[in-house]
Amino acid sequence: MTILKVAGLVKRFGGVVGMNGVDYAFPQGAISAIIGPNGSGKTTFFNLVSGIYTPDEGNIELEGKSIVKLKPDRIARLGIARTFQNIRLFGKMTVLENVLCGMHLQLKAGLFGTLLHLPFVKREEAGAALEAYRLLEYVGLAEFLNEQADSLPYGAQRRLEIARAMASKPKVLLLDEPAAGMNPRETLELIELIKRIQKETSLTILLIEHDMRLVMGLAERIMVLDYGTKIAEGTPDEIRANPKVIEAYLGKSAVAKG
Amino acid sequence: MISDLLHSLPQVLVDGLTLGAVYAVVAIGYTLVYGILELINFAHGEIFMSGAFIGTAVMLMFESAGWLGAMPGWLAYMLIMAAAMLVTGLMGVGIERVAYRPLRSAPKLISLISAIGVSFFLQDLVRFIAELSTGSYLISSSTLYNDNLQLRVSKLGGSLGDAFLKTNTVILIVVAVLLMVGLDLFVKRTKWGIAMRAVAQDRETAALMSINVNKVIALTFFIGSALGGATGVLFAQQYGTVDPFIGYVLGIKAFTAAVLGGIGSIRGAMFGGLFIGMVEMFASANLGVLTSGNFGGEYKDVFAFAILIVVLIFKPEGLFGKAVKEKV
Repeated sequence: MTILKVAGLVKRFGGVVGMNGVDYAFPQGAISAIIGPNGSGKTTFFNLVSGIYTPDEGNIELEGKSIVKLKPDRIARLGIARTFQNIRLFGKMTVLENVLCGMHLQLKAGLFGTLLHLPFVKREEAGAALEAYRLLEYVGLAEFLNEQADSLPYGAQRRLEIARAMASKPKVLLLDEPAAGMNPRETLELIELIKRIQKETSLTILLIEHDMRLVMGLAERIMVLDYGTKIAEGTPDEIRANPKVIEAYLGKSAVAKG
Repeated sequence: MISDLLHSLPQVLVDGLTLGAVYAVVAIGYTLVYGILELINFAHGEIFMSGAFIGTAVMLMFESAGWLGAMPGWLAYMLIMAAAMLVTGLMGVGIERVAYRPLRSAPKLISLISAIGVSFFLQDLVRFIAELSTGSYLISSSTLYNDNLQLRVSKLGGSLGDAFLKTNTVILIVVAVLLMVGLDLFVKRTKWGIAMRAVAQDRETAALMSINVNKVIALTFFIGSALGGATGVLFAQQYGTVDPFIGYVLGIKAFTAAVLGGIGSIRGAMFGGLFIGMVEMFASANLGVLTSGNFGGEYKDVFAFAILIVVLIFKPEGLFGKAVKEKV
């Protein structure tokens, strides 16, 4: 079953075409990877799906409903959460507060309830803190609870971004280069974490990654982009053997020789 | 000379605390909006003034309807306060919607000019309404809790003199402190407070956390303006007379307080307000003595602005602010 579908997606930046007619259907509950050389449009794709960019043409559907032209906070409400290639935590807030931000939508307290400090709001805030703590435990950050987010080590910041994104109870989780800058041990831990999340929550995960070990180890389906165009899709084995992909990464001569 | 200073010290502390509390709460309004929009909301002084006028108007209405004697003082106080906070809060939301939101993606200077425009507009609007309904823009009403108290500090010995104040002075300080503590808790603990800080740090990421950025900005204006309006009521009750221009200089001084504390920092604004209030009252009482009569207390305003200049030159991030690198 398809959860997220893009059709004929086009995005232009002035004269440059960032996304040139991409079609793809992401199966529910699977881990899909998007790979491609630098500048091939991977992050542009995430920005289109999460509503930071509005596509010039084409459609994006979440569970059969178009989300094109919705604002980012509406799309987040509908169940798409993401992390960022260059970490974008709220650096001056604590680890716990970052996760609470992700829960914003889950909490029912309206403005006036909050201002009047109604009892149910108090209970809800206590419950939210507990749930945030559980999430932090899940990603292995419980001990850093009250640390300022930007004081965490790099790998921990990446995991905190994942916890914050999961706090909104999304249907689709977009991970933009989650292993960037991690050492091999941290990468292995991350692979375990992502596997565990997918197994235990049946969340649909889309990830952009350059670390091929991670991609091949995690993804069930892979889409390959080059210059904003989809040049291949398939299982990891199919992608590994696809001459177009090798060409995009290594140049034409590599294919001829190979 | 020292004995003169000591003699007036108790009074200076009381007056400084009173004025400082007013500056502090108004400064919070500047700092909240700056924190979230990087905009100096120059109309905030006029929000304070509007609060003072609304409080006075409701008070006059109570008087003419003869209700004032019929209800207890604290009830009347709470009613005028609630009315002023509600109206100024909504004014703040309206100003943001009309004068700032359409300019949000424009250069910062444009919004700043718009803010100054709103400031002048409100001054003259209030003046117009006041003159239309009473014939004068100076409005006085009766005040609550204006019985005099005397703090017999002189009994402590030395050359300390007594301090005089009204019951309302105590109310002013207590309410101001409650407003500040309440705001601090709100911002630190609640869902909406956390959302406010998130939007202040990174608007786009906050939106991706499903936070409705426009709603949070409107909320910030509501809270900041309601605090300003409440302070206006306290001020009007303390001094009895209001005019449409009280918000102008007071607003700039509160802005100075926010800059001193580090603009964007709520606790910094509280400290800055109290500090400037104290300095000003000290100067007002002692300048004549210190300069052997060459300069009188009327030069007190020099100090707030001297502080503004010194802070902007030597420590533009303020005492509690963090130096921000320009986002690339």
